[in-house]
Amino acid sequence: MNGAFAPDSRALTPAVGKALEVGIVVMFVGVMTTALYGGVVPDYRNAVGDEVADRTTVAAAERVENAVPPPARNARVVHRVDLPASIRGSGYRIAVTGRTLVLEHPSPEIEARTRLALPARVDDVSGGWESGEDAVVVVTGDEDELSVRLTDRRTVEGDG
Amino acid sequence: MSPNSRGQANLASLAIALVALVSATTLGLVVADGALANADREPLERRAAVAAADRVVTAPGTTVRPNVLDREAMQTVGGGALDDLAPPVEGRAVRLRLDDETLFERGDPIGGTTVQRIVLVAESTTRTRTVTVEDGGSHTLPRRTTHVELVFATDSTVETVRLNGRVVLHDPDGLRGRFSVRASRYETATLAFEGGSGDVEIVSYPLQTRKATLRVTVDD
Amino acid sequence: MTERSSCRCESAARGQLSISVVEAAIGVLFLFAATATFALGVPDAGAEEAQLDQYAQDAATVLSQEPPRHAGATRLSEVSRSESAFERERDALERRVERILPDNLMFRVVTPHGAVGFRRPTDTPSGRATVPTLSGRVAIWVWYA
Repeated sequence: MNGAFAPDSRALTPAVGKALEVGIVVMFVGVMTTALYGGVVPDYRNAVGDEVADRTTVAAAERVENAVPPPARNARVVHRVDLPASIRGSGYRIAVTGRTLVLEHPSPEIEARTRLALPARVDDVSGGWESGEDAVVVVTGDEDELSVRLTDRRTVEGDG
Repeated sequence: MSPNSRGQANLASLAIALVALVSATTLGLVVADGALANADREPLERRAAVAAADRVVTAPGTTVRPNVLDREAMQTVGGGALDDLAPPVEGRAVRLRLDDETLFERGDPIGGTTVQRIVLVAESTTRTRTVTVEDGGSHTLPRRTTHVELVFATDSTVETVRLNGRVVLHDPDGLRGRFSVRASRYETATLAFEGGSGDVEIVSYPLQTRKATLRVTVDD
Repeated sequence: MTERSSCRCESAARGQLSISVVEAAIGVLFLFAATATFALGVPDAGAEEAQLDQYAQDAATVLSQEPPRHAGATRLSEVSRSESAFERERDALERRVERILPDNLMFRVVTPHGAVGFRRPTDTPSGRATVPTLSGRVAIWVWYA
C-alpha cells in the first residue's frame, strides 16, 4: 500500500468525474423523457387517433349506406358493423344528428363527421353506437318509407 | 496513463455522445412527421370526392346513360345540385373540372383529394335528309339514333314503313305528315318503304360524343 | 495545481475505447432502428389501386356500349365473338382503347380469343375490370405508365 499521497494535477477526481457523468446522463434522460412525453408523444397520439376516427367514420357510413335495400314491400335488414374497440386508448360514441354521422370522443382533438348519402325513401335515421358493443344497423320499412336504426345486437335480438 | 486527460476525455466524449443522441432523436422525429403525413389518406375528403364523381357520372340528371355526360346539363350544375347529388360534399370546398374547363368551384380546394373518371360528353345533333323513295326501297341511317322523325310530302303514296323488318307505320290511304318512330341505340336502323313512292324527309338525332376526363377535387 | 489543457487521449494508446462513445453508438443505432420501422412504413397503394380500378371500369363501361364496326350488338361482343373476328378487329380495338384512356395510362385488354395492348408489369399496381359477353369475359387492365 502506498503510504505517500502525492498532490495530483488532475482536473477532477475520478469519483467526482464519474458522479458528474452519471448526473449528466440522468438529467439528460429526464429532460428527454419530459420533452417527448410532455409534448411530442401526445400530439402524435392525437394525430393518429384523429386519422383512425376519420377512417372508422367513413367505414361506418359506407356500411350504413350499403345496408339500405332496393325497394321491397316488406324489408328488414340487419347488418353487423365492425368498429374498433377503442381510439387513442379510450372508448367513443358514434351518433346521428339529422343525416350526419358524428364520432364523439372524450379527447377534444378527435372528432369526425360525415354526411350520409341515403335515398329519399329513407324517412328517419336514429340511434347510435358505443364502442365495444356488437354494433348493427337495422333497416326496416316498405317501398316508400324506410327507417334506419343504429343499435346493438342484443337489443335487436331482444325485439325478436 | 494520465489521469486528468482521461477524466476530461470522458466528459468530452459524454458531451459528444449526448449531442449525437439528441440529433438522432430529432432526425427520428422529423422522419416520424413525414411518415404520419404520408399515412394520412384523408378518408373524409376521399369519400366526398368519390361520391361526387360517381353520382355525376351515373345520375340521370347529368347523364344520357352511365358514363356519358349530357353537355347541356353539365354546364348548369351548381353547388346546390352537387350537394343534393352527393351529400358528403356538403360544407366542403369542391371543384368540378371536365378536361381543362372548370364547371363548378366552391371555396378553395387546393391540396385536397382528386378523383378522376373517364367519360364521354354527348351532344345531340340533328341530321336531316330528304330522300325520294320507291316501292320496296330502303334507306340506312349511318349513325345510330334513339328515334327518327319522318315527314312525308303531301304527294307521297307510301303505305308502309318498316324499321329493320318490323312494321312501324302503316296507312292504306298513304302516310301523310310527321311521324316519330322509335329506333334502338344498339342496332343500325334501316328503313324500308313499301306501297308507293314519294319524298320523305328523314330526321335523326345521333349523339356526338367525345372523350373527356372528369376531375372532382374536394378539400376540407 | 497545474492543469493539463490538452487532452492527450492516452486511452487510445491503451487500445480502449471510451465507454461513452460505445454507449452513444449503441443508442444512435437503436434510434435509427426505431426510426426505420416507421420510415419504411406502409406505402399507400390503396387509393392508387382504387383509382386504377375505376379507370378500368370506366373504360369497360364506355367500350361495352359502343356500336360495333360491322356486326354484333356492341364493339366488345363483336371482337370476342370468334377468333377471326378478333384478328380482324384487334387493331381497331387497340386504337379505340388508346383514345379512350388518358395519355398516362397503359392497358391490356384480354378477350377469350387473344389480347391486345402492353405486357402487364408485375411490380406496379394495376387496376382491373371485366365485362361479360356472350362468348366469355373481356378483362381490361390499366396501370400508370
